[in-house]
Amino acid sequence: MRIKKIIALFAVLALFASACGDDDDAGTTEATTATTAAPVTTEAGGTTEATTATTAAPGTTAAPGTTAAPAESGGTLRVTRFESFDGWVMDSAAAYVSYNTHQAVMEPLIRFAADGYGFDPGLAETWVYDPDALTITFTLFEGAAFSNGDPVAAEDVAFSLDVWNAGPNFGGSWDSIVAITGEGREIVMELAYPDNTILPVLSGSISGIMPKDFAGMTEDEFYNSPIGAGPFMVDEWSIGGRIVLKKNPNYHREGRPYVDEVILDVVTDQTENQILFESGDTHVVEYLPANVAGQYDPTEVYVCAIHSLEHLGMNVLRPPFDDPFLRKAVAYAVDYEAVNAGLGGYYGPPSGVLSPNIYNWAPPSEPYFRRDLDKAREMLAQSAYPDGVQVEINYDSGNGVDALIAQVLQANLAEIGVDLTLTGLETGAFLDRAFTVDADMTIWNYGAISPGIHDPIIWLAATEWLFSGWETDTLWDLFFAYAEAATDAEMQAIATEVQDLSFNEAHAIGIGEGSYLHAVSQTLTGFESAPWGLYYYDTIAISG
Amino acid sequence: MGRFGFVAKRLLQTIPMLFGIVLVVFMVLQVTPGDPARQVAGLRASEAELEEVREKLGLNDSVVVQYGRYVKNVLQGDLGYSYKSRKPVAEIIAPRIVITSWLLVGGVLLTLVISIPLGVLAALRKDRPTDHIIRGLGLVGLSMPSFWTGVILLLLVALRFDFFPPGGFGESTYDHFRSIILPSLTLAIASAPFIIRGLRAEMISVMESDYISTARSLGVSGGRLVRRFVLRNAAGPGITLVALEIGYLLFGAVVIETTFALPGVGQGIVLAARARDLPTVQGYTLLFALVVMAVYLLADIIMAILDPRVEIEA
Repeated sequence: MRIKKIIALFAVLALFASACGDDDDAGTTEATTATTAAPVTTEAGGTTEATTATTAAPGTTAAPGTTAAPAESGGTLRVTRFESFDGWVMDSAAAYVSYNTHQAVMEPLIRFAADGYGFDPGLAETWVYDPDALTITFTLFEGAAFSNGDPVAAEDVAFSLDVWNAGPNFGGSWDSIVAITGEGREIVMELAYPDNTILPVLSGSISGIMPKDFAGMTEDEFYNSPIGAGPFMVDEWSIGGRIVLKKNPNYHREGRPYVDEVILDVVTDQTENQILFESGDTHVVEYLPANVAGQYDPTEVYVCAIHSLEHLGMNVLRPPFDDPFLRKAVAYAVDYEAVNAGLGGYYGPPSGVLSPNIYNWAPPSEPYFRRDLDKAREMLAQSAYPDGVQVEINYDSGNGVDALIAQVLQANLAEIGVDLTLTGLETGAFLDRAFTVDADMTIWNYGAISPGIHDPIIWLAATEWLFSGWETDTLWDLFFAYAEAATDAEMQAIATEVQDLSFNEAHAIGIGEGSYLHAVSQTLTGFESAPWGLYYYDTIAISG
Repeated sequence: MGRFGFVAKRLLQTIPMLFGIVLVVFMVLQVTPGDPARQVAGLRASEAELEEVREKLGLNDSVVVQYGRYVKNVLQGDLGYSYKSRKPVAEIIAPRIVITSWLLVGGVLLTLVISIPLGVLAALRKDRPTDHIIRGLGLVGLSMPSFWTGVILLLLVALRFDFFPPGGFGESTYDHFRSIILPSLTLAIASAPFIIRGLRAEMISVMESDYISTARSLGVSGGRLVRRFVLRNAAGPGITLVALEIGYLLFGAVVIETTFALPGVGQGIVLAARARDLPTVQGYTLLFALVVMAVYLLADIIMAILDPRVEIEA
């Protein structure tokens, strides 16, 4: 016990030292306010104080824009993205680009750290999660205020919680919070049960803080002219059009944001995006597809830690994939190296069905699927379709990576006598078929939005195991067990159990793991992205 | 029937056409796969929640009821609200119209600047090398897809000359002017060959007519003959061609705006369709239909003014 405490003390000191050594813009404040590693309960079950989590995300590549930002910058940060903004309703947003935009305006109490494992201060300077007392106590930054000048208070957080809870998508994510109280800078969340998922959820853009009663506006008026306490405020916006964010003069962190303005444009043409980037007319192109990134100067491609998971779901609700042997035959027939060879070196073979490089990720008990044609034929022979079968695969035709993968799968499966018909559909139609489990096979990709393996687990449940129609009760049981687990080891064992289910049943399998990519101008400093590609505009400065 | 009667009749004809176009678009959107409710509610919404959204948006009503409701609102000047942004559709479309108008005006002007002199020259130098070169260049212009022409212009011109921005619409009027030149040129390269060929053919036909021979025999020649007798008589079909071209340019804008990252109506309708934002897509469609019909109507009116035979034929 004593040895563990000493080790823990040294670890905290070492992490503290490394945070100080990192000496970024926030200087002393950043270092002392510290970050909390995703919730950990000590052996004694006591309080987990905020500690700095600096675990390096494996696979991170040296990337442009990551040096510390200067104290002064100014100017306009120009960002283009392929996808359209979803509007300001945080709950119903589906595009990563929307999450980036939301958190710049409606900042959550805490932020996820760029390494994918811990947290950074948001509106709260410090926080203490006490699983014994069932409380999380946040201390807001001095001067934390909305862009209209009103100070952030516990009532605003309580109001925001009501709005979050009413959301049809993420509404259940804050179930453990039963009350919010507080005075002045202190905000106390009372929990109904210990919840390992709550801090990660609170760090996501879905937990942006809004002013009480929408600052006197109706809901529709508010979502037309949103107000938040984040580093930026909305100057103009439209869906599919330009979004202009101006520096929030009331922002609580001195010197932040570094740029005066952020202009976000939707540029759907990939060639045009590249031309804009090369001509210096945009600083960042968000979420470059892997099959396009090779056309950019590699020194200007920011490669996030490997996290994006390409997956294949096989429909277990009807023949032929209700046959587990056929599913395994497919899993062993896929040439995972070939799938990834076409993706510019930014992908690798899968290690499971859970997105890696996230807190409490764990591998399956056995090595995951690799190409083995003998084994594939053996499985096919044991199936009800020894002579092969014709099946259809559903994919998003607008996603160049998935279109490429579908073609590779077609060639691979033909080798064992499985005739694959490719059905590439426009995104809306694709999603419709996917969510109604209407196709034999479906490929897509996903990543998390908050730092914890529970996040991918929820997504697996929400998609009925990535559109295979597999039962989700087991998954939900595992999720709730995760939420209340006492140690990291227990949580990782749950992750392994999920991975094992994928390996043993082969209803939903990973077929490739890759990095989210951004084109980032060398003129930027302070650009740091989480493995899932989300980043904060206010840490960025323009140096050139 | 006088000219006024002709114009009134054409105006009346546009009303059922407008309803017909809206109906067709409405039906097409209804049968297009993809659930608007999922786009509104989000990917993680349950079936019960999706059903609630469908009910709220009136998507469970019969197509006839939905169409009737839409038409009634449109007649009251209400294009509805976007499913995604909750903003009035008119408010979403309005700023984009400005950008596309710049593009269309620029495209038409450049088309005319290129095609009138070349069409006249080709007709006057019929079957000579100049004529062959002009027709050959026209073929090249016709055979190049607009997005490809756009990319070539971006690479060869925009990246070499700072004056031409490689994309976007800029912030000031001066920026708008600079931003619109290359997209307009792209449109003009694709559409000028039609006008050149049409004008050339019409001028040759006019030049071979009896009244031109008569004019020549009376000593009218050179520029005066071309301006007063040939061009004026060849202009009628040319105007119809230009009107047709404006319709083409409007739909060409969908591609050009994507290539040059211009946030106009072309880009807007693509994004709205992707998001299954039905009210917005319908708003754009109505706008496209109105513009095309207005242009054709205008062409008919100008024709009626220029050519007295129009009223008799009408």
